[in-house]
Amino acid sequence: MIDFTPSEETRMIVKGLRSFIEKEVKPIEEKHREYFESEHKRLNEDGSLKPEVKAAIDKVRMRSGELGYYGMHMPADVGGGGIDRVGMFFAHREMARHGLGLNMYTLAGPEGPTQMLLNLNDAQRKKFLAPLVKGEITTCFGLTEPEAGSDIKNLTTKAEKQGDSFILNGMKTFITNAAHADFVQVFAVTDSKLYKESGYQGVTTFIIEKDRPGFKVGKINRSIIDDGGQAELIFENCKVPKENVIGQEGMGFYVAMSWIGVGRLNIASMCVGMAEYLLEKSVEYAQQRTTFGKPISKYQHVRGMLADIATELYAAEHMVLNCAWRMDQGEQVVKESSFVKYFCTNMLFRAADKAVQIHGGMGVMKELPIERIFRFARVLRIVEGTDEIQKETIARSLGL
Amino acid sequence: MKVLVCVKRVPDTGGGFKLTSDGQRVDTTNMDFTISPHEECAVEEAIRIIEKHGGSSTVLTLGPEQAQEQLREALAKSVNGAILLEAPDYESWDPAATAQAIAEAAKPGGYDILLFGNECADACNYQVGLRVAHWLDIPCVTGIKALEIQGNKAIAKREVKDGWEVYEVSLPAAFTVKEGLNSPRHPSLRGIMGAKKIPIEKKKLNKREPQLVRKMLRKPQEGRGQIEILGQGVEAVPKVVAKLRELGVI
Ligand SMILES: Cc1cc2nc3c(=O)[nH]c(=O)nc-3n(C[C@H](O)[C@H](O)[C@H](O)COP(=O)(O)OP(=O)(O)OC[C@H]3O[C@@H](n4cnc5c(N)ncnc54)[C@H](O)[C@@H]3O)c2cc1C
Repeated sequence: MIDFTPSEETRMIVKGLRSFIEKEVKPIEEKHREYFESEHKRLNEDGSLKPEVKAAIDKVRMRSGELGYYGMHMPADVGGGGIDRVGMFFAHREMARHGLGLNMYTLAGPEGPTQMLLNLNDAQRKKFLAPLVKGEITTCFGLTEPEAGSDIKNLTTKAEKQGDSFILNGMKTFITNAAHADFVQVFAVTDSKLYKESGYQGVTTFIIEKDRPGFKVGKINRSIIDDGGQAELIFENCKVPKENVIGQEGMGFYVAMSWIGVGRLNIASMCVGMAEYLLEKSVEYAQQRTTFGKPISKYQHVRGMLADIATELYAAEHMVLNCAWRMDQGEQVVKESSFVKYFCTNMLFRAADKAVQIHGGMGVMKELPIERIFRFARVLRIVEGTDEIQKETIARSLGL
Repeated sequence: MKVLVCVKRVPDTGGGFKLTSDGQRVDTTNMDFTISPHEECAVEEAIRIIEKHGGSSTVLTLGPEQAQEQLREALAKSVNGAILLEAPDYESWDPAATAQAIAEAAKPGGYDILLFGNECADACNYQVGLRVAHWLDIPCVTGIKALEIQGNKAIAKREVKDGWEVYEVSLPAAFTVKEGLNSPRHPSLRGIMGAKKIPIEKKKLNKREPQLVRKMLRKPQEGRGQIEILGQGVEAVPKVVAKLRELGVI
């Protein structure tokens, strides 16, 4: 029988996380309020993060690591908490329920440990994974290139074998946390012929430390969210020992596949939490704001928008839970994780659009956190597989 | 040092609440449960006393079986043991009966320090700590915001207007504490996982006839704030002062 009631342990984790966010993280955010209200104040000329902001983010991540929340999705044998997917749904939802601020750094994202890194061997785990799970260091996931986003069969970054090493040349773009990562995970073609023929084999994943000669961070990618998060990775004759290969040579995509479903589920869970935040703020505002002598919550159009958000949220929450539960049972959830990623990111986008509308002019002003979430929600329909790529997966599952 | 800290499971009314149709209790459907902020400080103080002076801490509650959740939350923060006085009819237990049951359960434990919240978050009777101390015939300081243990005595401070009242009591003693005594820690994930493994000592209580009978709860009117513009610039100052006087703020 499927029962989605959170266990006592899950409830305690959620409460613990809430107490950490409310009592420790939000005060730090409050102290740096001007930075979180406006990207212009948060960034240097080149789009990189101001050191004070970076320090605040690091502090939150490390403290969360110390409390064991940051890496709790990872198995206990690598220092994580071994929390299952259903438990992680509740945790991600709680994290995002507090809006788009420093709270979003309390649980590991692409800068942190992922299931993919369980492919590391013992020596690599000790050196890279253990400190990553604790939040002491960060990483990034370097796949996308200027000519290869959705089309991962078009990578041009190459790694040529030379004795016991590889020589990397090429570049990656839009890589989250690239500018701050202590080591990067990079996908490069090691067997062009095989890659061309199969499309999936012949690509290898490497670990590259930030100070390795031949590797540098390129320009910061300025974007609609402009949070200093994305940047380029540039490799010019970067020599990497074979000890830095993740998993098996030539099988990089298979290494990555092992966690793609999880990443989609994480985003969807966050969408649920953030939409709850928007709904709460919108209900509050609709009750406070009066026009023509009545609170706007009394007008049918406004009530309808709020009812729509609530209804879609209910659907989203239950589809994520169902998918998470299936994953916990060891089921393959290829089309289901596409359903969930596609629906929940769009649900959040629609909720954010309505939240802006309900807040009227204030909805697009920087004083309120609503417009920022609206921009953020737009991005979520592109990362981790665009809407169209998800729909492709779904269509394929229909035998099309 | 042996410390006992007593907590009560109450509905978390942070996001507003409704009463049941018979007006007897808060409607707890879909509601989370918690303990009062005062009690959170009491739990934290128990942990700190043991960290500093050694010994063991125990958390106790009188309530339904589900109140184990509140006990486990304290265990997750590193309280050492837990006692559940299970009363299925807990909602009809008045402060006198509650205090007597706690005192009876505490007696064999030989605790040096008993900590309570100044008042619980729902009934706010301000009685249980004091009554337990009375049953056990030990001193009690209520509403404290600072506590220091020195050998077999304790210095407890209560905040008053412009200063502190300082009490020195010999142990064993009971204290009811107020929010602000310390800042409670968050449970770590390891603490949460470890808490499941600690056995909870359970004792079933017999039904009691309460001496204090609740007639009915009524929800207070939710007052909407009132805005009154008293003027602009310097001219408004005398009016602001007069208003503050009228409100009794100055
Ligand atoms: C904020 C942000 C963070 C990111 N972080 C990372 C990161 O950490 N690591 C990383 O590797 N990458 C990252 N990316 C890159 C991201 O994964 C890609 O942008 C995304 O996969 C889309 O690729 P693209 O930009 O090349 O668009 P394209 O693939 O060029 O797509 C353009 C349009 O064509 C559509 N399209 C493409 N192919 C098909 C098809 N077969 N059928 C139907 N429609 C199709 C797309 O859906 C889209 O609408 C990030 C991007 C952003 C914006």
